[in-house]
Amino acid sequence: MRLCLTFFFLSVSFFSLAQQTAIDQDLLLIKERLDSIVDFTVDMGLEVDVNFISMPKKTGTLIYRKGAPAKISTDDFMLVPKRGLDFTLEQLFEYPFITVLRKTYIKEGDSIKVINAIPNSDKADFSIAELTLNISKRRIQQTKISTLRDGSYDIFLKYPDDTAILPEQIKIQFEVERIRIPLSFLGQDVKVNHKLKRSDDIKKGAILLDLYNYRKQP
Amino acid sequence: MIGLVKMESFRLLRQSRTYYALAGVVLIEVVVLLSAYYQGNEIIEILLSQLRESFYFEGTLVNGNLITYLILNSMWFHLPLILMIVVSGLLTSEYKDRTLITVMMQPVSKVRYLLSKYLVGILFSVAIVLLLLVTSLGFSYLIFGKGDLVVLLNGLNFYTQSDAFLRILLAFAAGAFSMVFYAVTSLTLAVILKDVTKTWIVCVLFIVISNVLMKIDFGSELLNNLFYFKLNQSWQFFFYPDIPWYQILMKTSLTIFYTTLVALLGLFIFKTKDID
Repeated sequence: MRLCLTFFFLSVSFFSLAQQTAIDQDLLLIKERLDSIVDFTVDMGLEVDVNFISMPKKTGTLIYRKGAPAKISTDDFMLVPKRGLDFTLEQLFEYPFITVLRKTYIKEGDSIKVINAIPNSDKADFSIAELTLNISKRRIQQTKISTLRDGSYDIFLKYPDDTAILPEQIKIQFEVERIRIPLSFLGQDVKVNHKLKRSDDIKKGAILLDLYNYRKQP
Repeated sequence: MIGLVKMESFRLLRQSRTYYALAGVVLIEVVVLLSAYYQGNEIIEILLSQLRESFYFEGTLVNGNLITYLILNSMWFHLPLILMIVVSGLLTSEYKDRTLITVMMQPVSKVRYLLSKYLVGILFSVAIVLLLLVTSLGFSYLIFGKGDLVVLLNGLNFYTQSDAFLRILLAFAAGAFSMVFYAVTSLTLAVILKDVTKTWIVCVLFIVISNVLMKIDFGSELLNNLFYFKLNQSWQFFFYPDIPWYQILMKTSLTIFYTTLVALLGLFIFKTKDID
């Protein structure tokens, strides 16, 4: 009887461990492709689409080196998104995680798979991520990440051709709190519409990044 | 007429109060520059604090364009005051020193005589605005450097260096029209009141009341656009993302109309009244 119970508990432990460490094979294949990118430099154009911000398109250079956060160099003032510049998903998959298949479908002849990534470690700074994978082209198409500190944000990636692993356009959509400005900072002719202000406190904002002229770092 | 203008210009340049006024303008600029130096980062931090949740900031916004914008904001109250004191002095000092009677004994047309004072007042106002433009941009760029301008008008508006520079130039040009209006008004007040102190007091009251009325919403777009005290802010329109050119044109035309009207009133009173 004792032997049976021991066998039962061992079996349960083994199966639950196996389930926890299960990572989608297609995601692993894409991650392998992304891991092969060591460094690059790319020119970029940045547009801010937030209803209370008016900013002209900015240009700069983005420098990526594996193991370090992406750096942006520009002569202008630029609002650089905190999220969405993790091109190789290095930060997202820094700590152990499991994946759960949500759905698969065909879109424009490509096999698409939607999976959830759930971290196993308390150190991870996201609670759940929904990844839309293009299985046919072996790349990530869209991610929806819920973080513990910075709210949730969506990333939409557009690629230049069927084989590219690095995108030519990234749209990062996020929730942004409408700025609250002390009245003393408002101009003399500025009218405050309190009704509108209350209903307008949380807004969806977006950053559109155009990436062109990828090159290896010298 | 040219001779009269030259003579009035000479008188203006000989007055010590003219140089006190110039020094005053520069002093106010220095004070704004110093406060901006110490508070600039704090102001920007407050403006952008909530964006820090989603963004990193690359580059700085405390630069010459922001400082010039802050100077513009604070100057449109102080500058009319300085201008009104100096320009009204062109006539009140003549009443005080009784030189006006001597001049009027000469074969000089009363209208041309006062018109030359109005012209000199206008030229002086434009010169002061130009001085403010050159010194504020010069000091600000020299100390704080160039860069993007951020302005809070119905949201956060960012402008590139070249765009900000052009908008600042246009704002100064629009502001010059308002300054000319105040200068002309001060001379008309001098025609009516004659006395130096009385004219200064009324000039100060005029500016204070105008500033209070400017903040009042009259509930009608027409009234809000027609009153002279609402016209003093037209320079701000150049800092909206889409510049409302029609509104600026309307407001500037109205300012010119009011200025002409006030000058004509002064000329009429001066012509019809006897010199004591």
